[in-house]
Amino acid sequence: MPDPGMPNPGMPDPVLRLEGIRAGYGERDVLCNLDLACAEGELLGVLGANGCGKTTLVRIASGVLAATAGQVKVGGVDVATLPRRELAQSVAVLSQDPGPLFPVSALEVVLLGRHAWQPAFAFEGPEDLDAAKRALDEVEAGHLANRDLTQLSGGERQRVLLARALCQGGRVLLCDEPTAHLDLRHQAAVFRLLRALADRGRAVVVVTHDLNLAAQACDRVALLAPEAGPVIACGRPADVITTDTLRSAFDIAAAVHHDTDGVPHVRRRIHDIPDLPDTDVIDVIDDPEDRNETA
Amino acid sequence: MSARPVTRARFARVVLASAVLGLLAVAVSACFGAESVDLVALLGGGGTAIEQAIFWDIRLPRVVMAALIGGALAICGVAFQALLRNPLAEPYLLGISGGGSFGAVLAIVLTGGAASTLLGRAPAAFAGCLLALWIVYMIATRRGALHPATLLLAGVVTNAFFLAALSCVQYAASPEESQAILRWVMGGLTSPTGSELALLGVAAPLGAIGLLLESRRMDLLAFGEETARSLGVDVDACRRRVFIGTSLLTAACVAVSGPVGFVGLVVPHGVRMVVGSDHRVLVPAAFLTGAGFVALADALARVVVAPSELPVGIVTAVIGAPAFVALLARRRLLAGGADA
Repeated sequence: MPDPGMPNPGMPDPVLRLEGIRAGYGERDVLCNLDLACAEGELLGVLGANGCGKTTLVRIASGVLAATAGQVKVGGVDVATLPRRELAQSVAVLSQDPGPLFPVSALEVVLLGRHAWQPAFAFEGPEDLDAAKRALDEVEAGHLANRDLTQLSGGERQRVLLARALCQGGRVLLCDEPTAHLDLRHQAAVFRLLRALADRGRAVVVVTHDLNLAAQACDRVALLAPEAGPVIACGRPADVITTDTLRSAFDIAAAVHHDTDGVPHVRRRIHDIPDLPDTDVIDVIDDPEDRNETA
Repeated sequence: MSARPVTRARFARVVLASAVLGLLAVAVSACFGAESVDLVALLGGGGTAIEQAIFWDIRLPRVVMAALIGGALAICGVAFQALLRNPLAEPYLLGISGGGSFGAVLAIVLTGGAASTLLGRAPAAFAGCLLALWIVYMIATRRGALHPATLLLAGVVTNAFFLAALSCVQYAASPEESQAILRWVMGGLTSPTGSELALLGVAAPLGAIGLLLESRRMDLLAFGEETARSLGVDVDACRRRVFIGTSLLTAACVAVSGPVGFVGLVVPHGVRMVVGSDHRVLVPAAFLTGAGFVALADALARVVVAPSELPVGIVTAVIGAPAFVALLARRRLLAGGADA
């Protein structure tokens, strides 16, 4: 039986492998027995409910958080044994960043992506500036180069941070909700860019809530369980995104249609949430004696 | 704002300009005092023997020491602000200087004055600084998150604690010891001994070079710990180096002059407005202008109530406290750190 967490047959050996990962915060496990892999040239979507461990998965895969069990391997090497600098040369991350402390221009932010490739103390040369400007152009943010990051809109900021991850290079790109704060056009543009990056040979993992864009762009998607445990399903979008799996992952009865090219398309309506917990209507005067008095 | 990548040429321009500014301030400071001197005549070999003696033996060493202390405290402020992700972090406000003072005073009184030499004071001050930094860090990072407001409160509490402890020690000290301690704790500069000048002359430039080597990592750390990690910074090692380095620098300053406050706040913010937030230019520029700032503050301290003089710490506090309030009022600075 083929391993659902592994890339499709025919894909090269996965450059990023998460094996038997268990992770959490304090006593609480967020991820448990998780296996996942992503090959170069592949775009892998990670889907799941709020709090199911998607961000934790990115933190584990980027080596920022240590797993309590299991291994993360990049190019066959355990990331726990890699120096930070070497890891940063292989794995770039677009995370949910707290943002800078002091005013700093978009170009300067993108140039930070070069850090792992420069000596500990170095000045920016023409090639660094070129790389940074190219990265900004790729996310349609070239015109923002001189703007202060703290003054940009959420969407503009997100694109600048994506440019920083592009400027960082590496074989693996991990994106934690890259379309958060983006408008319709830029949501589509980001997925098209991620698709292009995968086609150019990177292993791209994207954590997202946009199932429909993920279904169009991703080679495979993984649906995480709401409680810590193995993935519910992982594979081609058409196999993974079904009414049944969505019910187990999100507790929603959503209709899944298929476009003419077979790409699944989730349609949900506000009444698709099957059983909202019964809300107790709070009766202010629930004490019989009180009731008598008021009566 | 315009993007200002740090090219080699820009780095050279900024360092040169701040060096000129710093040297100018030192020169101006050297001219003023209870006895003002004609710098040009003196450098040309003119002036009376008394003027020569005042200038070379008393005035100049003192101004140089003020400059070294100013430079050291300014870059400590820069480093604390980046690593603690707090625009108001500064050795004095965080209670680090207070810890160092307590260490030094305790050593002096416990040894019955035997440790009052620099050799006794400096290590005790270093131990006090490290202890204070550790306490502040432990309070503020409970459950892993370094919240800006918590950090400042932790600093206030730590400072209050060490000042109380210091008062206790002072209470137990003899009246003469007590008087000396009081002047020193206010942050006073007198003409330094050779060993004091040597200590700062070595520590301050070394500290500046050390922090300059960490400057790119500070840029990344100002974006938060996880971002810095994912961009290739060994956060724990970097933090350890910078904290030990800044503790050594603060301790050297405290051992020589007592705590001088607000330099690490006023100078970095002022310099940042001109050269931007990139630490590769911020560290050297803050060092050189910080040197000029305290040299001028010391000139003021010597002139305002001449022939008597004020502790320089009072002058820097009078300038620094309003600056602190102004920074607090600028919401954007705090908002940047509020979600750390």
